[in-house]
Amino acid sequence: MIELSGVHIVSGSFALTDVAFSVPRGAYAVLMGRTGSGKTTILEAICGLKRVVAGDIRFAGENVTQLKAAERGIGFVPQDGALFRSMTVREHLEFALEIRRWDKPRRHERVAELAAMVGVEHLLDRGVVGLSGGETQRVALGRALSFRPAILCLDEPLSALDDESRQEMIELLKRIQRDTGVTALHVTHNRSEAERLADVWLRLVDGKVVDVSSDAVSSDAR
Amino acid sequence: MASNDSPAPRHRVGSDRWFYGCLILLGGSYIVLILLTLLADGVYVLMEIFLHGQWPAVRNVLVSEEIWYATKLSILSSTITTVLALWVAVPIGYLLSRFKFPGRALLDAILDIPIVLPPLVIGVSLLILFKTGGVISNAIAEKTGIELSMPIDFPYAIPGVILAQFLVAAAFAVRALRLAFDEIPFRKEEVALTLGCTRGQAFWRVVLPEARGGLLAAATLTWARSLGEFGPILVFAGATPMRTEVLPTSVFLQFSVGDLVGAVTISLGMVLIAVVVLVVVRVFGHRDLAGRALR
Amino acid sequence: MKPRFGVVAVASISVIAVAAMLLTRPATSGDEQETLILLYGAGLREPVREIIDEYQREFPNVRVDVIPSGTGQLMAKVLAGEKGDLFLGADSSYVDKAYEKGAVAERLAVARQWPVLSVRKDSKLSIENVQSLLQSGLKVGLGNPGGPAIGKASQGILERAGIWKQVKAAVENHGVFKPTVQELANDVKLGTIDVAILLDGTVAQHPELKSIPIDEKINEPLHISIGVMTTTERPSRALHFARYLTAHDRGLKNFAKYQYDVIDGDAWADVPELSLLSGGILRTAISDTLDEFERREGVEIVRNFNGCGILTSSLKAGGEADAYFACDVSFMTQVSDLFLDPVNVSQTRMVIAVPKGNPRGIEKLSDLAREGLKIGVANAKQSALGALTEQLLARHELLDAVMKNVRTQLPTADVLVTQLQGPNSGTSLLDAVVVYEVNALRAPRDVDIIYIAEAVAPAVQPFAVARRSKHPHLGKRLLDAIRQANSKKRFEDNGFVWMHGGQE
Repeated sequence: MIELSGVHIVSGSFALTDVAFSVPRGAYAVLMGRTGSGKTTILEAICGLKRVVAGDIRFAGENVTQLKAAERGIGFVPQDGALFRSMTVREHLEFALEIRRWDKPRRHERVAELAAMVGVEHLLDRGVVGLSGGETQRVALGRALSFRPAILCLDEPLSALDDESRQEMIELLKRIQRDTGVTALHVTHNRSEAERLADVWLRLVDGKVVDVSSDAVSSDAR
Repeated sequence: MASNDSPAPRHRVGSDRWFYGCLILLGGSYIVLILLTLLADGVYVLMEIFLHGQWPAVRNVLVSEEIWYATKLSILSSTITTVLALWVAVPIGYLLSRFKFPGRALLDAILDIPIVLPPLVIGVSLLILFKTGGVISNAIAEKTGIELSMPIDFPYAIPGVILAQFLVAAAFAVRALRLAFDEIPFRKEEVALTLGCTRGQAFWRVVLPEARGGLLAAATLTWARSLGEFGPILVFAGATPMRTEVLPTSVFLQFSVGDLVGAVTISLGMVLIAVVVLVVVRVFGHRDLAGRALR
Repeated sequence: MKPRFGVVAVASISVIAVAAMLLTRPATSGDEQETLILLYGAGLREPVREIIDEYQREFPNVRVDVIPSGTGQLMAKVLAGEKGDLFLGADSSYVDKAYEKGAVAERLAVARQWPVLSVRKDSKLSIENVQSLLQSGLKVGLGNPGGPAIGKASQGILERAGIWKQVKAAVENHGVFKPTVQELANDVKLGTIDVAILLDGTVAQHPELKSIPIDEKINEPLHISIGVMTTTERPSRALHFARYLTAHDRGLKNFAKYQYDVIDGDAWADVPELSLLSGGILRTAISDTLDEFERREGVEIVRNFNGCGILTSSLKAGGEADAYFACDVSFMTQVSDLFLDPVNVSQTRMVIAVPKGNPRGIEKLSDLAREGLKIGVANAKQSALGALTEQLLARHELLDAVMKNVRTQLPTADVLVTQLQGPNSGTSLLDAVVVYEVNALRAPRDVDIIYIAEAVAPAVQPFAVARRSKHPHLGKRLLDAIRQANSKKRFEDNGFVWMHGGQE
């Protein structure tokens, strides 16, 4: 589903060369690596937020390297949520649908569905200032999934959560992925998250992505 | 454990009272100075009225058609200036906040010019600009027969008042808005992009609403700046009563004819207007923002 | 909130439009209201305020707005083309400069004021003369030399006293230079300075202050004067106010109240009438100028054109007139006790006019004595021309010989010229007449001009204002108008020779 080949990304003084990996359809891939190793940069490149100097990014065989972020159809859950302070929870869930000019009844239906899915029904008409960390991530997740993307990119979505919320979120992510069949790419540096979620386990070491799914469980590969 | 026989002697610290005392003293002296000047204005007028029988002088100001016109002109011209300034300052502020491009430092420096130039110089320069413009358009008219004429009069006219205010106030609006945009993480715009927005949609639907507070601050700053603008207006737009006289000009005119009571009365009026407007804006702005957060 | 570019744009434009509408409305709903803008030297505040109040009460459809400031600064504004109607300066030198630079059209004198030393009435200081300003520790205030008129005047006084440098240093050290005389007065009043050089009229506006005169040997009065700015769009209204301000029974009373040494002003009249006696010869030269003057000043000129002998006689007989524009100085001198300082405006030569082609071959003065000629001259008793002709002929001992040929003596020269034009071409009633060049030039198709070499003394036309006129200043302004460039051209077009600011 997601295929990177020979991807070359420059970000300031930092560059990744010849990044290549693939995530099969419907898989939950976790990309691990040290802080500053460029995990987020790769995610941004996939989302279309960072220009790729060379190489191809393909979604289901289609080359999307030159497509705009808006055209790639990826749900993006950034670190800390990056919610819009001027909007209510409902407006977050509706935002992408409104941009896509869905009509009102369809939008309402979808919002109700999403709210139930991520568990924010009781928050719908609240503003987002003052939401807890878990609630924030649920809203961000709902927003990213609202327009039924085929791919979901998550950038350390659980890093700022307390243990209890983290457990809840992991369950939620698993369930959603199972229910929707979305192909997920989850960036984290937390090992236990990876162990709980990963179908495909990727590691970013010295600028190269390595698939360690086969030996992940046994080895303690760094 | 290491070989420490006795526990380290307790680290003693002095009282924090000094710190708080200094904070209050240094900061407070400025606040007190501001309040004292206002208080002095008020006391002076009251004393002149009740002890020196100067009520007629105060009344003259209050019933003066010129002063009421100046008040109206001040408020309306500042409002127009604010709207115009925001239209210019939003794009420049956003540009400076989001993009790195060659000449950015130069642009930044140019935007400082209206802030650092003496107000009088701005007025004189505007006057010269229009003089030169007139000379050039006359020359063009002579050579080619094409009459290039300004559809509206600027020097010594109301549009001149607004232009003079705009030139200075817009620079302040840019500064304020740039800070406001700086505070909004770019990540939010990126998220909006992944959700299907164009850059324009992301700006209008995410950035601008989120910059409300900054816009409001920029607007009040611009408005207050324009209300107090004096030097360039005096030079470029003149001080014609019932035409281009704004409140600061009125204060100056009253002062220059030795009518101190009148000058102070108008000054107090300006303080009142400024306070009312700022309070109204703050209250409404905050209520709106707070309301959204709690809904 | 879903901001839309269009919505925000429309909202912005409507805010501006509403504000602009609110700002322009008063201008359109002015119904016939006229507004004057008066720039005045701030030191004249009280009388000016009173005069404006009274004027607006008397003429409620006029509003006078003021821009007070230091006279020097006002002059700078006037020279820079600031819109306004009137410029009332604390000293005429500023108004004169604006006049020379073409920024002021008419100037009207108002009053004199004197620089004085001023302290608080309760001051214990011993200030006797300008030397007292040098006392150490004294806080002295002066007007800025470039600002108010008193600034320049103070500098002059102190320079004449030889202490300018010292006083200037003292002021710079612990005194103050101020841009208007009122601000100085305020400073003395508030005690921030001990003593200042002010103007006596300004001191009189502040009951807390007293003035100490300055030695007249080093002092000079300032002449307050008001000028009509050339940027004005309503000159008659501006002049109306200026006349009001300088009328002895209107504005000058207010100035006098504050101890200004006012001029002997005109009497007030909403539309003053000015009666003018003028030699008939001048009619075509001055008529347009008189019309223009009437329109600009908003006055009426009652004109009386006639032979100057007749006019002078009527004056001698007690006839009233505000001004007299005589055909020759000889007539003015006969009534000089009635008029003030005549000014010679123009002159014209005597010539011999003959029918076109000069059928009798007249070439010089003595030819007029030839047998059988029919000659016309002007009446010596009734006209300047006649008297001058008689003098000329007598001087050349031709009087008797020519008088034999004289068929007609008329009071005005124009009629003599018409006598040359016969009922049919080639026939004429007279063979030659002695007239002014001006008269002869009016019939170029019918008349040839023979210049008289012997005529050394041309006729000179003086203008004078009557001593008893109720509007002497208005009369003087009429003279000013007559001496302007466009009037000069009219005189020259009519054959007069312009006299450069000629005195009597």
